[in-house]
Amino acid sequence: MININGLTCYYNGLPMVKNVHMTIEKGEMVSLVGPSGCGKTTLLKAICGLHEEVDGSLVINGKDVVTIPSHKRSTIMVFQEYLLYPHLNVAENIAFGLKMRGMKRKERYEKVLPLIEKMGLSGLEKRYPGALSGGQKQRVALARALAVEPTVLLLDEPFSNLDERLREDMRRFVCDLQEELGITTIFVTHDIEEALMSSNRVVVMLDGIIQQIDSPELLYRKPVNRSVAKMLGSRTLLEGVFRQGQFHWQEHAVTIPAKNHASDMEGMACSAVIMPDAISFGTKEGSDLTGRVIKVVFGGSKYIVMIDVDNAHQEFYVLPPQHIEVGEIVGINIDWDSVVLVPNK
Amino acid sequence: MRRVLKLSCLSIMTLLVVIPLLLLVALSFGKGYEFPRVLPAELSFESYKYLLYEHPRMLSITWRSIQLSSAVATLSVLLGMLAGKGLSGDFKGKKLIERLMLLPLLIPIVSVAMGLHIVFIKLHLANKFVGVLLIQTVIALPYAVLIFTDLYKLIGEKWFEQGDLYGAVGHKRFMYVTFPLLSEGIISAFGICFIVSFSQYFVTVLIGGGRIKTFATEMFPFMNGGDFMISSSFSVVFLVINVMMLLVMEVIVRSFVRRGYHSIER
Repeated sequence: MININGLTCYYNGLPMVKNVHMTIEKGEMVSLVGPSGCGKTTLLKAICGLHEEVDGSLVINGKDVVTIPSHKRSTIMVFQEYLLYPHLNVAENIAFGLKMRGMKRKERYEKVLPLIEKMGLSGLEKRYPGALSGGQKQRVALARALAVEPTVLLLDEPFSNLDERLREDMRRFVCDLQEELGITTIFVTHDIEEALMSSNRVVVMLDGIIQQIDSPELLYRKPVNRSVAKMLGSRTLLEGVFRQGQFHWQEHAVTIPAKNHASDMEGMACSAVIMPDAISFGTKEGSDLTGRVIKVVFGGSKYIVMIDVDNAHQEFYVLPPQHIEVGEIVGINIDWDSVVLVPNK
Repeated sequence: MRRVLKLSCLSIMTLLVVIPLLLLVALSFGKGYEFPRVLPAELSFESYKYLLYEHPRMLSITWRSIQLSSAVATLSVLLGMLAGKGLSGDFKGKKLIERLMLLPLLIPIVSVAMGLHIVFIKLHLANKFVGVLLIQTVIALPYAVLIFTDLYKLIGEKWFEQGDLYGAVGHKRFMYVTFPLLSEGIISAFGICFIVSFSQYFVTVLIGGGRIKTFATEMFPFMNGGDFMISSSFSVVFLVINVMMLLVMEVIVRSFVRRGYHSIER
């Protein structure tokens, strides 16, 4: 179990990751998601001891490890670039950590060979990293990490260097492996979809601050604020104010079910988060809103439609198929019961 | 466009490197060679015979030169690795230190040598092997520093961090991570520093006071004297020694990298 309490990571005296509080259960797979430069990798490095400029406490299996050097923490990080040593072949790379721990050659290979098989690397033992594909390199890097049986496995953007198809295969492979071995894993990604599909819980980080820690489903349905909702993408955000039990957006005021907003939002600047399936276009008559279509962008599983509503341009995310043309006046119907209100912070 | 560029590069290389080299070899074997004849009128091994058998102490001087240049190159590589590591990071005053380290490349070598000569006399290093070794290291070191600074920047910290996590710390870090990753740079830096040292004439004569004889100090008088045959054979031997040293270094470094990994089997 990992217990992080008030952990702050500094870089040249400036806080890059601020006041992190988080508990990760044994065997849990947690993804750390956020835009580039938000401090995800710094937090990962702080956990494994590669970033030493930290404050706060970091307890792994009941032991505060903040002052313990990286190689004694039993945490292994797999870097985005795999970092396989070019002068060592596959088997030697996998056995690297065991050798550094002083394990005898025979024992090393007894341990490495089943791992090679498990990772689907049989026949490649003698190959050097330069002769491996991206997916194979990824497997070798993972095998090298697993060979030393770490308490915590940290994966830094493990699939970002792989092409789309291989990425999906590797994601499944890693998830299955993690489940089978029951190893506590934290993996960093900037791909929200990857995070939602791969983990038990998702940690959203923005500007060095943890915004939300929730199960993938809860995070998806109920983001805690506008920034998180925006990061999740593919949803319409109407920026307004919550007053007297109603959400006010431009000239319009609508009642939002109490379960879909916090009780203390009165007078607060907030955003209505509307999922694509809660919006439909129709005729002007009887619609919640009307506007003139300015732009239509087709994005596969969704349309992004820019509409001029009361002289303000607003982006709407809607499901296909849509038969609307630029310049057309459309009625916009919203299922307000499914709309969630979040503060604008 | 790429083909034209490739052809242009090849032509320039042929014109500036290959042809002069072939000419040099021809000159070293040719008696009574005259331009623009392609081959010498008479084939002769006289110059090599002179170098190997007739020149007093030529073999011992060559051997001594190889030892001196190997020591200079090794020292430069070791110091260059340390300096390169330091200069690859960010710290206050880095630019100043970087420029100071590269100063011997930027100011005329005569000025450096004259200044150091006075210092060396006071330190009783003048006219001694160790004095020549030090002055040649001053000249060769900037090349090694440049190579290792760039290499460390290119490699970055991640490889070392990765090693740290697996327990490659202290001497293990050097043996299993640093040395293998820097091996290409070590070979290149050694080669360049060896050539720089092996070619030094002026500083060797100045600091060595004529007592320390090297391959270069023996070679230059023949060049000045206009004896093309002997000076060409000197140049060919010079070239062969440098190429051989580079190959030897490559074999040593590569075997160290491989053996290093397999040596400690507890």
